[in-house]
Amino acid sequence: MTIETIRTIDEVNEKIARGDAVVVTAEEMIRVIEDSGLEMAAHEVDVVTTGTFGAMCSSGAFFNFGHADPPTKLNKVFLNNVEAYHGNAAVDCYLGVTQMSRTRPFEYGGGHVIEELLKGKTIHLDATYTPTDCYPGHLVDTELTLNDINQAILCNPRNAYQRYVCATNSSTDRTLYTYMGKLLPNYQNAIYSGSGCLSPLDNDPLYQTIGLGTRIFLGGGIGYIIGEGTQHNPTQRLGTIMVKGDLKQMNAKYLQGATFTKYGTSMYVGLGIPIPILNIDLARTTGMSDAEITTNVADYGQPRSKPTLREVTYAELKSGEIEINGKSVKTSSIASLKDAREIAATLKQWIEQGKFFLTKYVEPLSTERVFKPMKLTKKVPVVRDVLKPAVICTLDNSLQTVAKQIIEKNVNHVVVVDAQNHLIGIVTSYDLAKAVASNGHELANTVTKKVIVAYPDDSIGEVARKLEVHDISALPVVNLENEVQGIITSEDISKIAGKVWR
Amino acid sequence: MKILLNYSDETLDKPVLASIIREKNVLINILRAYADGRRGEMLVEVPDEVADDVVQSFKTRGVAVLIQDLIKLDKELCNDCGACVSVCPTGAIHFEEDLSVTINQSECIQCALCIDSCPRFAITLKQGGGISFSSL
Repeated sequence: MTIETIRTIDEVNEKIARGDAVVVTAEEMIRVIEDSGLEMAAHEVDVVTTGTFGAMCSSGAFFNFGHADPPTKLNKVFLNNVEAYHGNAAVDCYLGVTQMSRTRPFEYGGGHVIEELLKGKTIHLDATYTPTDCYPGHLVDTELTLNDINQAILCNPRNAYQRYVCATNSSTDRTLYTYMGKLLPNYQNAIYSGSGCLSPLDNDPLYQTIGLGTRIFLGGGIGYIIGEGTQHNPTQRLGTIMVKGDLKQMNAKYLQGATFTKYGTSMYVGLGIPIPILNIDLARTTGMSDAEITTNVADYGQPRSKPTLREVTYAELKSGEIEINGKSVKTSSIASLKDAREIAATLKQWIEQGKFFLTKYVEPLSTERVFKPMKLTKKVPVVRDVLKPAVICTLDNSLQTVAKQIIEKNVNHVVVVDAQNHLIGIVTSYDLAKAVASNGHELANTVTKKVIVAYPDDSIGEVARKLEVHDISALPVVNLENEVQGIITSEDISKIAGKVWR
Repeated sequence: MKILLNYSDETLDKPVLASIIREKNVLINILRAYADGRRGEMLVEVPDEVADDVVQSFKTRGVAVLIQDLIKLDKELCNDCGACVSVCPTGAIHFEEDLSVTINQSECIQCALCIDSCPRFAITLKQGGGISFSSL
């Protein structure tokens, strides 16, 4: 199907040069269409601007520091104690935003170094070196500002996810600290990212105008799309872009270091793409409202599969409350909608003032790339592969019977079940000793009823994490019907770890 | 009105709150309390019309009282991302019409859930004796 072209990018740029281009933000476009109708809006509006301001972990900057005297081939490079990757030429390096400080991990990282440079602050560089014939070398220890660095190039392998899931937490006992923020247990809150109707890629979901060479708003300055981003997954409407721009003309307001408690560091990146309205289809996609844009609510309480609980619109998410399994759940964003709106408005202003011209891409983004999970050549063991039959008892057993089982079967944990083999609780040898010491008689008073469990498909890593987090030594294994399938203990896990190392 | 009371080891073992309640015949609601034998901290709600009198009574009995700004949001650091908004159980932290994040002081109960939800370390709690509720 060919769609009639209303205008070309060259024509748009001529209008920008004359100062009479009609530019609106993606939020304003919704109203233009409401007022004038789609057809009229497509003819009236030349450019629609978009914006997003979220934590984008796949970000960082290349630096070239110039040569030291004596000439030095840097080996390990640290900027404010954050290690920068140095697999390139003598004085080049790449500082990633999730790299954490060696002295203040989980607090300060690569994104904070970039923010400090943009604020004009002095940063400390120290580096070891590899002596060679061309580079005799010397330990480098110096103080630098952004002006002292020859080149600082923001280069982000994956930015501006077309949309992202909304995260919530079904677990009954644990607050989760994630890259989606703090998720309280029992669905007490849900956090979403992505700016909905302002989201850059989702305003042109077929990438008709977006590709390698597209000029964009990046970090408060000018940047360029240099191709599809890593994990670009267009068939799932999860496209991404790779971007670059000169850090020296960017602004700390739109590149901010971030720290997610118990997860690590990242950086907030401000990014906006101008979409020229070349045809009526682009008018339609840029005019989509939050009520028409959907995403999925994912349960981060089940970290391996993160199952989808429901579909939701951005209008619902932005209302501050959604319903999950009949429960009203508070929602909030983790990407600043206020700044996303400001970015779209700033880009609009730049274009109106003739400071920013649009570019035609040299190559479009792929619309077919498929994103697969990692190929694993060694099977990762799951609970099903290693669980042992559990030693079980019922609540009407005496303490003595259970004690006997512990000795005869040489175990430390006895799983308490009902007549249908449903999990009721767990008793350890320590619990029994305690009961005897305090003249207890009833098994029911000795059983721990709030039990942390494992499922047959859990990975051994997940089990190890549960044991560690809760400081316990065994997990009963149950199926989704809560029927006991067996038990897995820390000793079992040590044995597996032993095998791997052998 | 919410007030934050800070007990020293000298005042901790005295029934200060109980005696004020009986003496003034006033209803005081305890929102949060912490004591470790050396010091104590308590967040209470007192009726507005007698608040001045009650505050004075605590002070005369040697209990330090904090009245304003029980929680602070540093707008220089805050980027209005909203990660704290859905974590707040009382709705004290909320989005304004223009999508900026603000805190309604009078609704804050100092539960501290928001503190480590902030990716910019922009939220701090006012504490009397250096006791952090978040570490409880």
